[in-house]
Amino acid sequence: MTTRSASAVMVAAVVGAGSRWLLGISVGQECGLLVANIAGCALIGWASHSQEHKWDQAWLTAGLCGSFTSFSGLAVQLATGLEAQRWSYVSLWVAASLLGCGVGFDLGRSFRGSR
Amino acid sequence: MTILLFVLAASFGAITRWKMTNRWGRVGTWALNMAGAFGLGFLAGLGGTLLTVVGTAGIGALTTVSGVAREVSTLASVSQLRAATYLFMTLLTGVCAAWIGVHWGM
Repeated sequence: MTTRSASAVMVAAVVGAGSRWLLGISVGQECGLLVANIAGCALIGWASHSQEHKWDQAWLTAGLCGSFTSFSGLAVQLATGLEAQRWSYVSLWVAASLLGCGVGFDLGRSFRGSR
Repeated sequence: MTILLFVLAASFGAITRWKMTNRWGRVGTWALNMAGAFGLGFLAGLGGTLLTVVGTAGIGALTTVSGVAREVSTLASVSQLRAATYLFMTLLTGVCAAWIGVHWGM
């Protein structure tokens, strides 16, 4: 880990986490988190293809995408939904997250591949 | 002041995740996601600046969905079953960790 790489990861992380925060304020916490997770997966799919699985764009993958998306937020949404026995809400969240992130990742990868 | 703390927390979270993932691979990602899910669940009852700084910036940057997607994609190129198992177990254990955090939390 070089100082330059670490600095780039930190700057990208602040941009990613800040964007997620602002998105949550703009469109609501739940919707903002879902959009951030899907967009982050699309972006890392795009980045992964460019590196042909070397994954060495640390600032983009670990910094920006990693901080823009949040697993903890998703897990707490699902846990509180289960606690309140909101089954359809939880099912919808799981389906939207899995489908959105999966399709987003593949779209990002194929978009990069088509260029 | 909040912005400065936000910057510090997000930087710390991302650097920790980067180091853990470089050292322990997907096990490191999984461990941080579980710790983060528990931590955010624990703090979920709080509001205001503390939740924004520690929860949104620190724990949010510590955990990742895109990293999980990347791991699933890598595993799927070897075995679809292993990829599906990793995804299912990550979701299941993450929700359990968050649920415990919410129950023990503030």
